[in-house]
Amino acid sequence: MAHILLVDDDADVVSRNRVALEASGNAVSTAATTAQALEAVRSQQPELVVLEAMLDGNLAGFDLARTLAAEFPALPLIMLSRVDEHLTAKERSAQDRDDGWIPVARFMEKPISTDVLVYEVDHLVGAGH
Amino acid sequence: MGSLIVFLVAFPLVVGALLLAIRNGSLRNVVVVVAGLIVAGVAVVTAVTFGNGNAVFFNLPFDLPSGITLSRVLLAAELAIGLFVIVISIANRRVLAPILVIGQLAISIYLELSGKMTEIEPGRLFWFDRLSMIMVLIIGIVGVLICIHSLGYMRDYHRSSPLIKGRRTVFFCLLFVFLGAMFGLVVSNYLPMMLIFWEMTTLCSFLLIGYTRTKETIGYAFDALNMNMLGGLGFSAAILLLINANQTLDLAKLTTGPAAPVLLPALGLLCLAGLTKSAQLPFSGWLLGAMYAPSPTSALLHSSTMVKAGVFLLLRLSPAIAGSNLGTLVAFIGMLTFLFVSIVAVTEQNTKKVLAYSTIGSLGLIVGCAGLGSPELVWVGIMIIIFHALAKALLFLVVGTIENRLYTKDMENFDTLLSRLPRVSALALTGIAGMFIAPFGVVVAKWAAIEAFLRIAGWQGAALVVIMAFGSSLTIFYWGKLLIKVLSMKSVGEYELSVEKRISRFEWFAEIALAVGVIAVAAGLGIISDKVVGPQALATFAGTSRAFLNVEPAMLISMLIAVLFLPVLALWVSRRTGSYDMGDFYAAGRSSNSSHVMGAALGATRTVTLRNYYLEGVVNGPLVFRTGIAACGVLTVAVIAVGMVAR
Repeated sequence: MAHILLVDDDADVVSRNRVALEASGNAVSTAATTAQALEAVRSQQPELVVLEAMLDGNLAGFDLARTLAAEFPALPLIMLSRVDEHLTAKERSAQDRDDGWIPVARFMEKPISTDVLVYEVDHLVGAGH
Repeated sequence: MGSLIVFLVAFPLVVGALLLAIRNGSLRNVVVVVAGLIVAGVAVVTAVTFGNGNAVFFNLPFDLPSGITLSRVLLAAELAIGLFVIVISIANRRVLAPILVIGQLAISIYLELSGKMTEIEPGRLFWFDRLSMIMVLIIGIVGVLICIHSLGYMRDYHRSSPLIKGRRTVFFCLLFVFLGAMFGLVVSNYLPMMLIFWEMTTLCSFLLIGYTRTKETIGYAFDALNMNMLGGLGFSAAILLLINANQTLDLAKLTTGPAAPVLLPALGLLCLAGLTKSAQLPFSGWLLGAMYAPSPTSALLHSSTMVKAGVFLLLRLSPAIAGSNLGTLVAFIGMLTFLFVSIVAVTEQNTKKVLAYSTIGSLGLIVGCAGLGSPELVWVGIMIIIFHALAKALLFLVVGTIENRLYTKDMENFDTLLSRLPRVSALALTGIAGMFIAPFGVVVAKWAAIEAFLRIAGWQGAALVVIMAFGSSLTIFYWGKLLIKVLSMKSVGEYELSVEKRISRFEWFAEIALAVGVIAVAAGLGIISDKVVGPQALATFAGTSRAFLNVEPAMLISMLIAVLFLPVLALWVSRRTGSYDMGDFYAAGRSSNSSHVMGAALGATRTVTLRNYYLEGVVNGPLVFRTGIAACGVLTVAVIAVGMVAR
């Protein structure tokens, strides 16, 4: 059983992922903004954070990921996003780097099946122990 | 001829070195595509130049500088490879690989210093016949397509796993170095030279499996290294035994007919090398670990080419070992491997591992054919090499593409793939059909194998037919499950459909080319059999000329139309999304996993499940695998012992 924080401003996505993660035996808390997310991570110390790239009406999720990675290097992060729709080809090719374009363990484009999310969460939380 | 071969070996090595220095992605794309097309072009030219088809032997097109002998050059290469393995093993605190390497180096240094190492007769360094030609075409065309595919695959691979440190300069360097080594291996006639290329492929495989440098993958990389080095040591020891018995190191001369008893110990060790390289039981474990390497690596090394080096060597040895106890033992190792891994494959949910088991099984069939040896069986073995190389490479690449889009290798998550990735599904269907549906060659070859086994007198023939029948039916079970997963449908939104649009053109190019290849070789089955594989089989066993396959054109055409129907129909159906919705359904026997318990008649309860059937409660996959390791392990010890005793 692990404590997972879901960060997304789309309530439907949060509730779908929450149901799946809880069904597989995890405790889930949620946040809808970067401020709430930072607050939740600092106070609740989750074992893994699943976050969206587009928060607070812009791409604040990227900064949130960088902040969390710097402050909590051992905390695994999974980013789920449809951000590709909002990026230009040039911005996308800037992400093609060998040294990691964003400090998250997994970056996955939505929609992904909840089975896959649960698998990834188990895998990453298991690896940390 | 010599210059073409030297180019095929040396050019990829040079390109590999160049790629090590190229950090810019766009430049790398250009170099890989251009160099790849040159390699493929020269491979085709080499095959065409070889016109009349009879075996040719030739030397290097230039003289080595005076004072330098070929055996010294080979020893230097072996020392370099050996030292590299020792250093990297010590850095990772592993002991087995260095011990095996030191054993191998000790043999080579002893032979060189004692002056016992024999050179090859002038003009017989390389051996090029139809089997080499087939291998050169596979390496040149399939290999290059996989390199091109990797350009797109690796970009998405690193995008979705940003914490994995990218080392793409090394990755592409290794792919090209590997191509060069493979070309060298399949044209070598001088055993010590073949050994060097053999070890180069081992090293490339080791480094590619450990690409991500996690603790897990480093462990799998060393598993592969240890097993392949064990085979390499067997290869070295075989050379030592041959020299001590005053025998030739000329592979073609060694295999002109049934071997004299004095040769059997060395041949047993060469068979051991072949069995390890083609991941037969008890050595299969390394190939499963190798599945943690990026998918193009699995396609190139671990299905279409490197593991084929093992069966290539065994097919070369076939005339020498066929009819002996050694040959029969090797054949049974292959056939039992086929049976055991086919059972385990049915219990496996990870699609890449299913493909790996299927690869080991297909190689087992080829090993079976090589061990028993007859023109018919050699024909079967080569046919499987060709069709398997194309279809399995395609499947590994497609699974890689799916993995980068849907983030899963689990077959259960391939549900409704046809709706989500319709074009990719059509390609997957072509690959799956290529593995188990007529008129694709694997099925035709299996049919021919059953016929050939029936002609073998005594209990062996009957046993082999039974193994073949049970093993093949299991392959249909697991391919059927995958097929049905891919073919299921649901309504998808516009965004979900757009996922397919983000697949790179490198991946499309390689996968479409391979799919066309799968269909083209099926259409050309008769020609390939009459012009290439048939004559090769007859040359290997000096048989009387005959047709191996009578293809009625009308029959072939109707089957091809039926086959094309599958992907085309699938694409057409997938366009009609939205007009209906399909639910979960029932496949491969029954569903399992207890999602819901329902009341049935007479008070009974039934559990309703929504998964495929993996023989839970009936077959314990790991136990079957271990049983296979034990059974084939005993046979492998016998392979070594029989040679020694016969002597």
